[in-house]
Amino acid sequence: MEQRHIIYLLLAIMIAIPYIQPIGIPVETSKMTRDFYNKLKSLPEGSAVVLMVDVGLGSWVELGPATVAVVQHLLDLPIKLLVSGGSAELPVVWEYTLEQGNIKLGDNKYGEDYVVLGFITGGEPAAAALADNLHLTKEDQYGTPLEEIPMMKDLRTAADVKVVLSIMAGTQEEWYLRQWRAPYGTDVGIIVSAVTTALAMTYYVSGQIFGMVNSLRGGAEYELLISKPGKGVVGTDMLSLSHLLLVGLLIIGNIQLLYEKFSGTRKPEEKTGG
Amino acid sequence: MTDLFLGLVLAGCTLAFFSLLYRENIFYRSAEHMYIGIGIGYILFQGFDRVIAYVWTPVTTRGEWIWIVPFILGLLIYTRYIKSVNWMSKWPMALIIGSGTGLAMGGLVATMIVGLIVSTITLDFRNVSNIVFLIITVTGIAYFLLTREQTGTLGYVTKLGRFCLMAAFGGSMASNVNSFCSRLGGVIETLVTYPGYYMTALAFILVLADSMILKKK
Repeated sequence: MEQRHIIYLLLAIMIAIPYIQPIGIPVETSKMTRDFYNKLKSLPEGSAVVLMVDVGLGSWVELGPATVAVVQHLLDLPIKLLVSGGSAELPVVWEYTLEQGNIKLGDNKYGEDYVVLGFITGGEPAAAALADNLHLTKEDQYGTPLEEIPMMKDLRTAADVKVVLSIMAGTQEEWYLRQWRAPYGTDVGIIVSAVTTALAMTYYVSGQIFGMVNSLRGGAEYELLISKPGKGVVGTDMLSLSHLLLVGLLIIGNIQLLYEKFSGTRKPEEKTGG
Repeated sequence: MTDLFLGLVLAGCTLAFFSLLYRENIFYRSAEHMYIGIGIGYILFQGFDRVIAYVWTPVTTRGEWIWIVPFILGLLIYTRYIKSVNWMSKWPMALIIGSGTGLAMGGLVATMIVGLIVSTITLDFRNVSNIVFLIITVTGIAYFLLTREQTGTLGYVTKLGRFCLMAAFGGSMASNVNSFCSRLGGVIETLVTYPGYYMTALAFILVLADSMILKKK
């Protein structure tokens, strides 16, 4: 067995442990998750919120717990929810969210309290077109003309929407800042993959994004905020253990490097590239 | 019964992908081809569904002929596969890039330039982390001043900027690892919970048997 195989195996074991026996490492809620939660909670009754699904099921493991928790929170609030997005997998992601998240719809009625528009192609121009005309798709995901849906009668442009949320793993927050917030004043919040958190943080710190739910960890925090612990909380156990291993490996690697350097046993580095 | 079957298929496909870590094999190849095929099939279906919703239905039921224009522009993209008329594909591409750039530029000044500058100069400097934030911003920008030789005081400033940039790249890399571990965690969950662990046990037996056969050879 090669050294890298041992590392893969160790990582797999550390990740598997919490799923076999949850540990329950305490989760502290970060300010950006709390800001996100408080903003949604403080929305006036009847406010419209647009949830843009800009990721596919490939990101489900990381963003699923946060998506489930936020959707459950939105459905618990007295607001109108409009679901759309730039991901072709939106129909599957939405059904998966409701089913896997065991979402309780409560008194919410389709067409009166929430509507699924379906996905729109075209990236940022499509986001701009949707902001300009919320009836862009003419019909909802299930083929019902939007003019026949009661909730859509008062929703015409992004100016009628209080908040737009994006579930994303790229730089989609910039689309909504440029096409929704700048021209219409719609507030922007994001559920973001850890890969792009650092970039999106710039807009959060500058106050242009009101809150961020950061990947699996943020999902766990949100689950605790809505008092519905789920896969996110178990996931943070896994994250803590796997990171512990990686930090340990980094320390061991650096000690070995320093030892070889000072004992003169270090082999010269091979030249790479052309 | 369906859950059992789906659970086994999910775990089986996951293990087939992971098997590349052991060595190249037929299970990995099959899973790879299946994944690409199903993915493309799904995207094609969604694409056709959108064409029917945005073009076919409005044209045939409401007489909105204007939707034919973007449809033809879309079709023109495929002319790039025919050498004699591939110049036609440049028109829709030009329209997409031009409109995209124009739209992005519209909101860019307000959000990415004015918004960020205003937030930086209006920071509360009684907070130490905001002072650090300002130092990193100024030295990081100074690193990209290429119109003056970076010597003397400017040299020290840009050197600090370089360290700040390295720290930022390190933070970004750590975020990538975080994301990778999150995704891996969910995948491994399917392998250690019912019914996935049956497939995991089977995979271990197969790997052991294969490694023993290889050793004998």
